[in-house]
Amino acid sequence: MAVNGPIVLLVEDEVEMRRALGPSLRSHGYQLVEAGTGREALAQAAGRNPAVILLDLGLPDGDGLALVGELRKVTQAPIIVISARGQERDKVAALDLGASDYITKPFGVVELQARIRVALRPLSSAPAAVPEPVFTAAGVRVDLEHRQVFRGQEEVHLTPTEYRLLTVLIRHRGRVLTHRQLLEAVWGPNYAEQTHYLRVYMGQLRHKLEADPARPRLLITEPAVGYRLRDE
Amino acid sequence: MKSIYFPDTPPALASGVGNSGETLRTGARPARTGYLAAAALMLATAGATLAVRSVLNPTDVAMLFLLGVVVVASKYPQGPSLLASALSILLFDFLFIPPYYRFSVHDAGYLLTFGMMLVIAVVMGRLTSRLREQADAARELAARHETARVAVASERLRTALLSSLSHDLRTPLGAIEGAASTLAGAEEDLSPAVRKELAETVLEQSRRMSRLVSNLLEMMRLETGALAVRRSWQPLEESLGVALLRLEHTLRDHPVEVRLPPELPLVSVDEVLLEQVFVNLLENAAKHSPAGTAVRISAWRDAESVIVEVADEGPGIPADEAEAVFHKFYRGTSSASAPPSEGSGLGLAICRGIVSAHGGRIWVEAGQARGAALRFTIPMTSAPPVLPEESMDTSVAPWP
Repeated sequence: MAVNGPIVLLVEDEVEMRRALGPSLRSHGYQLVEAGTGREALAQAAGRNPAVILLDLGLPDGDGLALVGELRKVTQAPIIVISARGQERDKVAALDLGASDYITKPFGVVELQARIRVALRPLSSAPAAVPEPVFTAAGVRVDLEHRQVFRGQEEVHLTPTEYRLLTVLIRHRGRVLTHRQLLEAVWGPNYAEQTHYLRVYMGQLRHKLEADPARPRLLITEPAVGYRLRDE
Repeated sequence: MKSIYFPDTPPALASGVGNSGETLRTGARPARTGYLAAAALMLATAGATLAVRSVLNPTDVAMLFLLGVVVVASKYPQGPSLLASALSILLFDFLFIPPYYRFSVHDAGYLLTFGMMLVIAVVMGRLTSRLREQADAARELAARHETARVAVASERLRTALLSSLSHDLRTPLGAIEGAASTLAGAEEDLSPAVRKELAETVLEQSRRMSRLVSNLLEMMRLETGALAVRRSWQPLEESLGVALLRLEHTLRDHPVEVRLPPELPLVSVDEVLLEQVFVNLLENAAKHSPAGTAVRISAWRDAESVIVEVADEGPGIPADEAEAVFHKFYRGTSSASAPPSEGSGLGLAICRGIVSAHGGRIWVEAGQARGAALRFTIPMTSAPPVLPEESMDTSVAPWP
């Protein structure tokens, strides 16, 4: 067990959840720092310089959403929000406030580990200079340099919008992107509310890329929040 | 909506309330109607009697008028009865007692007849209005009794639900506690295989509990009206896809066939709620059909709506249970494939709640050769938005 692994700050008021998550995070080499309140969380975030923050939105001392904004002021560490089903609006609000991802309770540790790994992976910032010019997942190969897309051996022809949507998702692979983020990135700020554009094009992409469009393996829907391109 | 789809207010209670309302309205019937009816009835009596008076003697005529008074008194309160008796005296005198067509009376005996008619009218009026009051009171008492009976019945139902619920919660809890305590207490004497099996029991049972709890929460939100429907235009395939992904484990023994025609329009729905409908219908299909048989999802459009069907190849739903399956906490009686303790009995009730919140209907389609087919509609009340065509461009536009 690496003692110097990345620091994970777990902001969670329920002792049971801390007890359940702690051992498995530690056993995967993370150093765990815990906070039970928003105030503690801010102090730990500033003092311990965590690599990633897990934040339960349902904290007792005030608004978990507000804490996302407060944390953003003291640290640039990615924030993964923990929330319940049916709180889709809060998830979207947290993502808009600067959280980088979310996970819905109840979740498995494997899923959480995957989210942490993605959050710790640096974003490929400049799209022009893509570090990995070929993306491959779920039988789909995208050659970003030559702008070619293949399903298996067969080349797939995408419309410009479909291709742009796909590349935005690839750039953020593994991470959730909200409807708004995708609409602004692909269609522009005037289209931020036109979610049906996004849904229709996502459907088209699925029909071109997925083996079974009704059971996507690559282009995952995050209900009422956005989409995620699954790469593992 | 609530009392229709979640019949926790039995129809008996509703009709009891309706009855007492009816009674009140009868008592408060406008007085004018009574007077008009009394006058009309007495004039009609006079007319009819006039037509056949050649064969009647005056006593018979008096009796006919008296009959009219009694009829009025039995229907209306004191006022109209008095009017009826006054009119009958005047008409009787004017038309049938010599000298005709004059209000004078030669035979003093008729004065007695008049007096009797008046007395009878008053007495009858009193009598009938008291009878009416008693009938009202009796009806009200019956309604109150019915309410009490319903309260007792629903209390009994509640107790039954509680005990079945606590059973549903305790069973997985017991399994979890058993498996976990074995894991926690054992030192080295458990083989890795046993260890894994115990851990899987914990996982599976906690998933079962979590499903039950979220069903209960969903039901509560539906019943308290706290359910907000956030619609947006979307392809049906998207919510279905999320549901199928969520149910990968549940549907592992069933080939899933999806038949969505490409020309299916966008629908205006709340995606989280629609996903829940699919999850519950598919879970139901998987639970009630033998492993290896297919689950089919299809959709098509008619004039006003998109119709969605989820069909399985299980034993089907008997016609006499086709409605009851949508009642909450209902568990099929005749299903051999699923033991009654499986599931919360809430799945289809939640589906109905969600579908009707979208203005649609859900039902068990009758006349299936085999298996059960559940259908629901999504109304197309407005035209879906149209996206501008994008030219198929093989050379992809430069990245901005």
